[in-house]
Amino acid sequence: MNAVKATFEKANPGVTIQVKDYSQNFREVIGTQLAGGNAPDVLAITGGGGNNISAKVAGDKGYYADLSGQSWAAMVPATPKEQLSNTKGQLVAVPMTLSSIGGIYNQGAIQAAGLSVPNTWSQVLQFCQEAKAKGKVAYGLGLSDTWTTQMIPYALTASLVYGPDPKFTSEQSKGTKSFSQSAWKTSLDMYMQMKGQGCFNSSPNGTPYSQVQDAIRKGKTLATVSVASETAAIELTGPADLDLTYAAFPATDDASQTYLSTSTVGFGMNAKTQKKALAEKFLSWLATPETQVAYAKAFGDTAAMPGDVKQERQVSTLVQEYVDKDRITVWPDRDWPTTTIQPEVFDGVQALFSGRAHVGDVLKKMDAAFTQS
Amino acid sequence: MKRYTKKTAALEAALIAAAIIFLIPLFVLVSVALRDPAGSPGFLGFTWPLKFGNLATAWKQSQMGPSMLNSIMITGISVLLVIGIASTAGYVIARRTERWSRGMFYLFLTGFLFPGQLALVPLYVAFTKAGLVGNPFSVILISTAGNLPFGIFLYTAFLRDLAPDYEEAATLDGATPFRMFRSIVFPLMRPVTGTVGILSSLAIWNDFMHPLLYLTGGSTRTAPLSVYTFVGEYSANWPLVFSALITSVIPILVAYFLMQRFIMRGFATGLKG
Amino acid sequence: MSAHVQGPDPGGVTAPVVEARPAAAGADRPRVRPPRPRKSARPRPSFWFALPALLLFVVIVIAPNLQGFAYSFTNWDGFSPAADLVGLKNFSSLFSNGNSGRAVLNTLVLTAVVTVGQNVLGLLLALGLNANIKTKYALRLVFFLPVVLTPIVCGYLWKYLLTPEGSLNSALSAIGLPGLRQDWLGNPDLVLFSVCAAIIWQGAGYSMVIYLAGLQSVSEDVLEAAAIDGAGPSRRTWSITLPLINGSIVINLLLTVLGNLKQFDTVFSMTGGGPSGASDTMATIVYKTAFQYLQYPTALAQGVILTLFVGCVGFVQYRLTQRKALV
Repeated sequence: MNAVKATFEKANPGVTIQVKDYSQNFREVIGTQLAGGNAPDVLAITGGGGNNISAKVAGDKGYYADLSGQSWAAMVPATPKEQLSNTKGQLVAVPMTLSSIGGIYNQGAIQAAGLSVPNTWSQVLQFCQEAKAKGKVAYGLGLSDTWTTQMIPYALTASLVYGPDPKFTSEQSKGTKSFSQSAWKTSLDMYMQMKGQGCFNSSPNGTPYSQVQDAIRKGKTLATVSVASETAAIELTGPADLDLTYAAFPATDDASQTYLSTSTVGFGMNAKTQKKALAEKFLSWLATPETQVAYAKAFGDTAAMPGDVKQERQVSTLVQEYVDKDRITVWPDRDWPTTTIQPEVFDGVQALFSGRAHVGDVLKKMDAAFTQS
Repeated sequence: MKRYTKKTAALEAALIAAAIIFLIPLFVLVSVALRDPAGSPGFLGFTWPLKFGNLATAWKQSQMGPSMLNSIMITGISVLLVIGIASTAGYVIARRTERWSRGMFYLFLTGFLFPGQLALVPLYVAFTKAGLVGNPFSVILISTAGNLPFGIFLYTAFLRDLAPDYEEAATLDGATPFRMFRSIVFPLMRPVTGTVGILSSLAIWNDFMHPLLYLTGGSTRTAPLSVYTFVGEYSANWPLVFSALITSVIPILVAYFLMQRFIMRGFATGLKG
Repeated sequence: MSAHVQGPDPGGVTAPVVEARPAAAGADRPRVRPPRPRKSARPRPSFWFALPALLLFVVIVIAPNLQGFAYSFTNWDGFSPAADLVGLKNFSSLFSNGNSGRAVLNTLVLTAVVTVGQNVLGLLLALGLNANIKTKYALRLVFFLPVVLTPIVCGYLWKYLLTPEGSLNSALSAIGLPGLRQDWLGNPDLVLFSVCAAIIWQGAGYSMVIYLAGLQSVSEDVLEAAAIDGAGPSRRTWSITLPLINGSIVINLLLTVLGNLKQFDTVFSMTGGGPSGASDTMATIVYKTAFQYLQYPTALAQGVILTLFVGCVGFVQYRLTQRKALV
């Protein structure tokens, strides 16, 4: 945000934008502030439901202004539009970036090891074996930071569950489908298969994610599965010649059947803002292709509405390719009806890695959390 | 017992060994902070030359300067309030023997028991209604109230052990209650005041949750809050993160080294069973 | 400068020794006890002196807690003003949640381990530093140093030390004990004890200083007399010193037990309660339920349980020790 605000301030003399960064506690703080009626004028909103500041939870409570009538609203692509609208169909945010989950590979290190980026599931397992033979870790896992536990399951279920069956979650709500009786089981079994084949570093549960980042920079670990913007974070303090490749993470042996799991984050307006006109002007400016691309670049991610402006990052090229092929899904938690399912994934994956649970137990708990609503 | 025997020497050696073990984590903190991010000297080594620039970079990028001033202001005002309010209340509780005085003492003691989380949301809603969110005053009020029980407890315990001879004399001389408190009782309680000051300074300086919720925005952050935000943004860069950790505790370390005699003595007299 | 005031000494000395202070009103008068009945001159400070403290405490601490308590019987969502009474539903859903039970157990284990560890270590250090050693002031400084670190800083630091490739494991390999390498924070059986170690490291100096304060009031003469009577060092410590510093022991126990029943900061910054809740405490569970799972009513019910828990333990501890030392 700081990267683009100066441009707006320059174009609008007398306006200063105060950026407030709550880092890991963003949801807690903003959620409390929304309740208290003193949230910032413009704020980041996550797509779908699933958390207290999301478009469909806080949006349904009327905390965010309806932006459907804004001039840029017509240009918002379908998936982000659906995600950033509340259940009444009111658009509540300008989509900014299209985040996605994929494999992040240290290109120099995999070439030095004589390997290449895998495109099919068999190649992934082979990649693991060969990396191990060279004394390298194939995929770094830092499960001590719980948000990383879900990366591989989300990447796999994109191709195995949500891509082939876009209505999966709504059928789950009707009670006709469940985690246990779906390819979620296959996905978690595959996760464990990767563990068994030595794809990961030892003791993932005690490893902080930042050490995985470090190991990738140094080439000791060849890759990790994470969100696309992590490419920028890893490059930030890496050596100058660090070359990262971002690729969709395959779940089948047919590369054309791979889906990319994505999510949209946008900026919306506090319904109680005192500076409505100015906030609207700012949002319109955020919607322009130039701002979008500059913002995405600073984030290491892909712009949601780039227009005709070319995005140079390899990440963006790849994501755009999947958008054009219409092979994207939405992170499953965005549509989950309760907030307790995701913690079950966190706890469950950690328990799988400490040998305290079986795949079946984890899925059973997730199902229980799903039906609790 | 006063002699320095072989046994004493052995004891001294053992304690020095224990101190070295105690210092290892802090040694790691410093050695990592002064490292070249690209170097990998192993977990107990330095990279040469030492990168003191990391400290400056972390200080600047985490905006520690202004945060530090905020922390100093908030801690200073709160501690003065705790001392002023707790000492007067402790005085009343210690000197009055009626039932209400006892009840009040127990009421304040319940403050030890509340875990904080129960009150977090209702308190936030109340402060929002009062328009105090975003204002450091909110954190000052909460910190003061939160540290009252321990302060009152120490002042009361101290005064109960102190026979009221001087006060009796002053009463007979016709001193007003306030004057008597200010010029007799308060000076007598100086050792406890030191202890209360030190303990509440530490607690308020280190408080994290309340500044996080109440002090929005960059200009009124506190030092621990800046550390937390910085760690979130730069989790990738251990030397910078550890540099930020160090810069955030420098003032309190300096204060500790300057006043350590006084601190130890304050403990000795204020916390004596 | 000597201490102004002596505490209640074992010999039953209750009259304090007070240095004359020129600032005292009427200090120029001869210090003669007036020949009046004691009662009439007893200072009776007005209730109003306590009012500021009372007001602030009731408004900022008591009222929101009572409000939270009241809301724990409703379906209040933390956002809207509306809330309906739901009776004990929030409490019953607590018991169906396996994590809550585990957190209670973890909290008890953590409190017990830290209380024992921190007090034993603090007491040993204090006894050592009370001896006639040359470096005692420098060593006191060292052992107290961790106390001034912010708990988050301590948590991050220990997290770094205890990772699988961290300092501790590297050190174990370096000294030829690679067999002792552990996944200190990733192994569910170990993680709670790793957290305890960090808390003890940070708190031992605090306990030590309180014990040192108590030890200052133990007279050398008594110990020497006992030594002449043939009592060995450990017997002297056990039968004479410890009973004499009973007050310090009580304060230390009270602070460590109550503080750790509410333990949040260090656990949260080191492990976040993981892996899979293996290091969750009651305080982290309340936080997660409220702010991550957004189940305010359940969180409030958990908060009530935690408060009652701490309240009972605190009360029992207070009653057991009160007559001996505190009031």
